[in-house]
Amino acid sequence: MSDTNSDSTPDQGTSRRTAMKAMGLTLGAAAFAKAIAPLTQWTADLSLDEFLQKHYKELSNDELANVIERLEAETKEEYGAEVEINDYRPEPGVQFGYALNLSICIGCRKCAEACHKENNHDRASQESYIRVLEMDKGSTNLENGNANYKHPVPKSDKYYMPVQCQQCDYPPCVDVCPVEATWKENDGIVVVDYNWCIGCRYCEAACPYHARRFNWTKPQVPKDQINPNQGYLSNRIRPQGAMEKCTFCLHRTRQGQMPACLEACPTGARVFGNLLDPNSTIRWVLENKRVFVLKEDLGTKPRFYYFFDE
Amino acid sequence: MNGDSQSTRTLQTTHFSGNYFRFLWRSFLLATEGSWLFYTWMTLLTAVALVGLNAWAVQVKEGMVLTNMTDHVSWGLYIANFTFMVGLAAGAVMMVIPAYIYHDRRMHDVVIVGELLAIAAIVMCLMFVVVDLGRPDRFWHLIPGIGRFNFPLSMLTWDVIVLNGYLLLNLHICGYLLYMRFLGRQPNPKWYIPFVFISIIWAISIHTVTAFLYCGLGGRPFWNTALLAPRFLTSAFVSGPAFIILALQIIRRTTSFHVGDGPIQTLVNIMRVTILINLLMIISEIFTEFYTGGTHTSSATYLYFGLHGHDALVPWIWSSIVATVLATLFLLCPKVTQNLWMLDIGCVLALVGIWIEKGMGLIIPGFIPSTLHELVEYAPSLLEWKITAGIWAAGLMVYTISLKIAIPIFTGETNLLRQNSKSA
Amino acid sequence: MRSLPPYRISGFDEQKTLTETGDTLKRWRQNTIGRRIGWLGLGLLLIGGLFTLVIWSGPNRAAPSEKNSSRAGHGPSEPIQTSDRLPKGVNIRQPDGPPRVATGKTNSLGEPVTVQCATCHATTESNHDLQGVKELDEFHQGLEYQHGALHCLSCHNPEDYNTLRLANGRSLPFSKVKTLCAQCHGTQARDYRNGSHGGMVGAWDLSQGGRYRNNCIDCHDPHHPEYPKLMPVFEPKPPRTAPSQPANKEKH
Repeated sequence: MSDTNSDSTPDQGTSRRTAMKAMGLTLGAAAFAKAIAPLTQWTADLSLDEFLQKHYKELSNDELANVIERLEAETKEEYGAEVEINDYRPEPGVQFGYALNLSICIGCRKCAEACHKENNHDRASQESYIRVLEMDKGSTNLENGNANYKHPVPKSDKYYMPVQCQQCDYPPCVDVCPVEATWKENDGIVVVDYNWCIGCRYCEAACPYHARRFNWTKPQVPKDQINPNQGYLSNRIRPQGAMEKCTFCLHRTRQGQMPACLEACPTGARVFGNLLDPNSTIRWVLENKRVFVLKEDLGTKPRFYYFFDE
Repeated sequence: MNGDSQSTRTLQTTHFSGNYFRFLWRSFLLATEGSWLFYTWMTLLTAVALVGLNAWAVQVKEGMVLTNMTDHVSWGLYIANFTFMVGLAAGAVMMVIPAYIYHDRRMHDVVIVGELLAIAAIVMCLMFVVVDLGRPDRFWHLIPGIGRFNFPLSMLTWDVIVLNGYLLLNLHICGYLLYMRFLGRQPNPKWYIPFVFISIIWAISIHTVTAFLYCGLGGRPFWNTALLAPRFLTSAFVSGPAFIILALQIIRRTTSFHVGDGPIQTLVNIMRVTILINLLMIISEIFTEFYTGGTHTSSATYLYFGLHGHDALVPWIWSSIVATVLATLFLLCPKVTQNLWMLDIGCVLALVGIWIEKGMGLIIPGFIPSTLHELVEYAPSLLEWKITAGIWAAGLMVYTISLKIAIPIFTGETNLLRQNSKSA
Repeated sequence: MRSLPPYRISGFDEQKTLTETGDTLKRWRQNTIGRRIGWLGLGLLLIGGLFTLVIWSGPNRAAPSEKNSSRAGHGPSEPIQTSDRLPKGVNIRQPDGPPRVATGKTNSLGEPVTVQCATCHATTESNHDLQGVKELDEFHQGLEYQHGALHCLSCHNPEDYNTLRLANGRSLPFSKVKTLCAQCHGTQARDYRNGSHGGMVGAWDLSQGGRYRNNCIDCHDPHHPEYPKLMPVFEPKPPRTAPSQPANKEKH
């Protein structure tokens, strides 16, 4: 790498070169500042508290209260909505289970719609944690499924299979998360700390059930459509760039209420309850119906059961 | 090399830290001084890198909605390139093994070119991971001790360790050798030979771990194959030598660094074996997929032939196969070492073939059809291309600058006493 | 998609039930809760009375219940639950009483005029040979009827049209229509009783709230019980990706 300044005397060459370098450096620095400008704007909006926020499990009660207060204020500021965010904890003696009767599901997608509204999903992308597949009768092969049907349902040669998070007992999504931003709670629900997730989407690649959703942009929900009853680990409005998923509506179910998708079901295809309660409806289904789980061969041990009536 | 005994004596008496700062300063000067060709090249790379940087800044602000990735195809061009770059980094070890294990003198003289490539490639890998993050501001959650590091359960944490470890190993080896050359001292084998041997194993590990990242996912049958890691390694041992052969030829033409035909011949011999093994593995995969059939074949069917009228990746994969087969033919031709144009074409074809195979041909079809067997296709958006180009430019900048520093020190044009043999 | 029959039982608004079951149930829950507050006073009185009774009966009388609670040793003599009574806290929508039948006429306010069954049937002789709706020529015109091999008097009580009739001939008030359905649809009735059939809202944990459930006839028109077809809502949006994305096209 030899210099090619043999034409000019070293001094002149050096000074010209130095001047050129200085100019190049200045231009480069200016261009760099310009290039990075969107990022500096973005970081200006990012509060230091948010940047330094600890993992959910490491927050003390006071810190969590502060975080929730900040999140409520942000929702007020950015969406104009008064919301109440609570930290609903698992109840002892409760293990949630969900079952779905494929014989009476008609594929109306009301569950998906209810999920969308309940969980403050981005309106533009019409996101929902539930995908309803129209399946060929006589086959449980998902390859024959179709989520984009638009004709009166139920079609006589089809059955309908809504799929959402299976709340696996061995969740691959939890295993792969590099920062422990997602974990399984004591009542069986797999949750995400939306403020800890780095957005690598490894969990989305690992999930065999297409249950996870990424916030590709900041969710947009009109003020009057925001569900104000929010859980820190469930339906609060998620930040951009974080992963989210179905939580069996833990802000409802940990208060003893049914999940929104169940209440929306017109036929009663959905059965929800406490697996530890021998008198619960979910236990009755598991003990009296021939249930199956999706992709059992993967060993994920889902908490979401499907069954057909005789 | 050119260090005379007098200068060596002087050096030994000089204070270490003072020398080290002199070394850094001289490196800085070397990195910023050069011919017009160098300046033009660097300006071009800077411009492309800045375009990429700007695109990334916009992506962080507006969200990854600007990419064409979706919840169905949740990894795209970034992770595809990441995978390829890990291969390139690992492939550099194909110079290290002959140089240090088989004591190939001529390879030993140029091995720094491969080690520096490993550094540049790893830097690019890290950049590709960072741009793929939805929340790069939370990168610190990944730092062991400060964040919450899900080790050893998450393969991604393994990848963080092996990639950064490989970077540190190569930085140490290159830095130490360069500094000793700069001082005019004989490098003490104690301080680098063990690290070289660790780096050989480590190189294997980076690509193995990266393959495990994908093949450990039971929900993605296309990746869920034991052959993935061996395939990654063999393709890496094609792409790495191919890139280095091209780099050596450019270095030979543009610098005073002496690159003999010996190392190139060795690398060609390596490629002749690895490219054939790579082809064999591709054939094995194709056989297993299609002879077995069934639902798990749908990704492969989509990739090679299209599925239900969706065939976005078909041209890509067949280009890749054609390129790989042509590269094999060129490389196996006995005259290839005499006809350098043949070698160059062969190397370029091999690089292109493997870049497609590791990227569009491996990462994308893993997501198509989705785990619920929905067919959502993917083609990168302009923003993704910009960011990718930017990272390539930044990586080439790192490689150019490191070579720019290393070569004069290695040739002895520059050392502690001599600024530059020609301009001093 | 089946069109709505011109003849309908008033109170059975099919369209509404099928599209807004959840909402209807939720509203009903609100009403029920409102009504309950009214009953609260009476309830308190009753509880007070009961409490007095318990105090009066003394500890000796309380003992048997204690014994009952620990019946681990009783083995197979578990009492079989024969009634279809649901756990406490579960509320099922009941028809208010006998249905009213639209006459097809409207009053001066434009409201449809409806009559009780008995209005006509008190004086009309029952036709026991009637095989189907199509044979009717005076009233119930256009009633779409498709319910197996049943005919009118399989369910309607010719002795008293304001009640229903079970297969064994006993009459049954309209409010207990579930019992009538359960005569044939035993498995559905069993599933219903065990919570795996029929829409509901409310609490899974009955200690934390009530549960509100649909009745059979909220979803199944007794004259045409097949669940009608409807257009699915909330069609998934095609993902924003490369052009020529056929995701919103039907796959087959």
